[in-house]
Amino acid sequence: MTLTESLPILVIIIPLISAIIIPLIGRIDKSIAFAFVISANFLSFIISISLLNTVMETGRISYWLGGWEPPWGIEYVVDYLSGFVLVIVSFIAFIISVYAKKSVEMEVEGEKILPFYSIYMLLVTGFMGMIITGDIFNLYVFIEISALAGYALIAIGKKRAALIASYNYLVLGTIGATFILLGIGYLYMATGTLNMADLRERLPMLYDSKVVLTAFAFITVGLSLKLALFPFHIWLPNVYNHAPSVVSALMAATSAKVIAYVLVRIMFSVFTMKFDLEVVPVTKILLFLSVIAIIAGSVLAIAQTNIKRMLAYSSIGQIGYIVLGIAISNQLSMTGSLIHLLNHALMKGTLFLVVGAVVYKTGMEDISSLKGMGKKMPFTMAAFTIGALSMIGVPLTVGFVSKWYLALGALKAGMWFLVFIILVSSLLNAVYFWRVIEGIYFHQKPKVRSQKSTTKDSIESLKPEIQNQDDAPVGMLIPTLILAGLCIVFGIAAFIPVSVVTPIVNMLLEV
Amino acid sequence: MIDLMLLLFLVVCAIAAVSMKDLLSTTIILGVYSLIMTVVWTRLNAVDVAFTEASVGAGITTVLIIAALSRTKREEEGQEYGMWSKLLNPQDLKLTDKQSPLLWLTSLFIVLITGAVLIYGTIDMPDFGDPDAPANIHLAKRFIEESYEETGVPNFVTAILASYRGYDTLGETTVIFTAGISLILLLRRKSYICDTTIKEKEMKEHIVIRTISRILIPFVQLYALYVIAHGELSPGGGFQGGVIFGSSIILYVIAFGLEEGRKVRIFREMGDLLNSTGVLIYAGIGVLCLLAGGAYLEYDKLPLGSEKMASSLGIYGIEIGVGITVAAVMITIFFITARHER
Repeated sequence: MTLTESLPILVIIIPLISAIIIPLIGRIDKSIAFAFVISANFLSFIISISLLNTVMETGRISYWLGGWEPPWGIEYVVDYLSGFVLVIVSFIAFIISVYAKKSVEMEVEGEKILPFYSIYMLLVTGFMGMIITGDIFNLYVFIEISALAGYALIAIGKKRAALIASYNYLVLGTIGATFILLGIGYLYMATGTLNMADLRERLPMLYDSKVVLTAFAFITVGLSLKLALFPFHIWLPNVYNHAPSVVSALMAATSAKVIAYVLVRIMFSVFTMKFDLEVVPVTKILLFLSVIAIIAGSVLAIAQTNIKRMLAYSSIGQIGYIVLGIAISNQLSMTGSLIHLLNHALMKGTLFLVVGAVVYKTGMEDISSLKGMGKKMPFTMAAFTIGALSMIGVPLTVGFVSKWYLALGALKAGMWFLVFIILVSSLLNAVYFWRVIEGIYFHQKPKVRSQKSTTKDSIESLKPEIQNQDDAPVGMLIPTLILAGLCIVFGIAAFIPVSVVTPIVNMLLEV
Repeated sequence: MIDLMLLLFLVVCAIAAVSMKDLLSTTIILGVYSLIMTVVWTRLNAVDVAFTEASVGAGITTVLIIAALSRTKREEEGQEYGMWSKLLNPQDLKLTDKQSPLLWLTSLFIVLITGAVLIYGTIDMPDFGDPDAPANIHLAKRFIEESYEETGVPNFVTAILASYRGYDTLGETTVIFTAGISLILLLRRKSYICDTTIKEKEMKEHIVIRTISRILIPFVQLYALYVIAHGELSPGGGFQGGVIFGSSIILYVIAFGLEEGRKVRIFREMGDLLNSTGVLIYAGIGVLCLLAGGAYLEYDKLPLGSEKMASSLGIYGIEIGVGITVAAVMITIFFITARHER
């Protein structure tokens, strides 16, 4: 086999092996370990791009692990969908690994940095493995890897609350994973196979089997739990709030996307449109839940004073958008949903990286701590503004593109009230993000007055405080700005992601 | 008949484990639960699974939970009433702000729904042991009939785990590795002063334990190596063998203590090294297969004589890898969770 033919496995094996040897080579020198993390992520990003490219040229790639022909062996499948999500996740993982150095040094104790990076790579491996696999049990194995790595990375957060957040997530995540495993077991019992393509062939004649129905129910509920779809979202705010900034950024930008991808795979690749629409009312239920998620996430975000927590609630709303498009399930809405996988990764990535930089500089996470930051950290705050405008859905940003397609999809399906929901949610987004932006640019940093303030001092404190520019270090700034820049680039040149997504939608909906 | 008895035991154990307030008793009951499961697996002719359940579920999990308990309290807190009184009189519940009767009823409702759905699913299940069940006619047929010819491994459970689905096993070994490294990340303290789990003095009196351990440990270790090496022919393999080997070291520590800091450091360094080494061997063999021109983990392509020979040797290699990582992680987990004296 040539190198090109082996790319589908290398994209997983490179991060995996780097995770294994980081604890070994890190003993020699920690900076080697860091360089290793960056280069492994970079390589797997490059390979992902090349895979997507190959798929565009020659179509679906199937890789047989161990040389065993599927369904007897495990199959890796790169098609438009998995190629697209692979590129998103490996890109975000790469950008954040570049950003990570300083932030991790500040938020994680010295001797824990090596295991931290090792687990970071394991988390990435888990995500990538979930995306590329064409085998439903192999999917579960990688869900386990990513979940375990996720729990550990969250629990390392500085406050004790991080442990509780991680524990709650562990319990709920384990229930979710168990449900998924039960579903997989039931599917195996009904069909005798674990290969997704094989399942797709064998399932249609079993659509009325109660075993298959139960399996589908358990898998969807399990995935919803891990996706933090309303009402399964309770674990998410604490997790994003208390995890180290780098981990919050990685989880917020990729974790929900990967699970949403798996949901799409199960609903449209393992099962079919026909099953989702005619046999079980799954799209109706998802529609209902996603609408609540969109509104509730936005409303709850308004009530937050901690910026990470605000972003977390906003994520719950954004997950709602992704599921909404899947639930409407026509071409336009699916396009909106899948583009939102990329767009939300970009904008939430930007916002969380900005917050990480602010934490690095000031050690504070309150929304009020951002006041007057426009002068102190102009570039970082510019990135924040771009991310926030995207979240609101201002034209020429990526957020607008997703919402536009979702709204069109809703109209086409004759569900005009959904357009109203999208508008209301955008307004709510505007409310809570404007509050922050206003603070950044139009407020002064509240000056801490000393107790013995004389009259002269208090007069001085009324004058605008001149702050020296003190932006984030270059290593953190550049990744943030790249993500923010992409929010604009893909907002203007929306045809690039749309051209990738269109064949995916056609494939899924069998148009 | 005996199956029904076993099932009944399982249910009794499960209820007892939940309602018990003493966490140590709960742990032991869970061990008993696993032991019964072992018998159930054996009755189902799933000897490999039974073996794993015995060594992992009944064996090392119990020890590790007890080690974790040594850091906390033995009694469960915050439960004024046992489970049964809760079930019978919900108004007895101690109402904290998070524990309203409404929440309690909702939880009960969700659990009942989940159970009902699971039972609903059983209606269309194929009959027990039905030779025409989909699981028996589709993939399993080739695994049973051709695995020896295709992989050179007589035990076809090993053939599936290590060859047909060898990549899943690599994934599972990675899960074990992740668990070990997560604990290193979260719980390891910088300074180990003294690592004695149970005080030297207390244990000196237990001459019986020490003598028996001294005699047993070499045999346990030999057996562990046998289980790893013989996995191709009989039930067992790297996973079970690794767990048994890990247990033997844990037994040594429990019986003799690790009074000298030096020994702790050796174990710790070795543990860190071996955690990675095992899974690296596994992943590395896969890479060698790539270099030899095959697919990942396609052992036949390794330049080691005939295809069958290469496949068989490749599987030996990965079993050893699994064994090393599993044993090392078990030891690491034990050292990290068990109480250190300060």
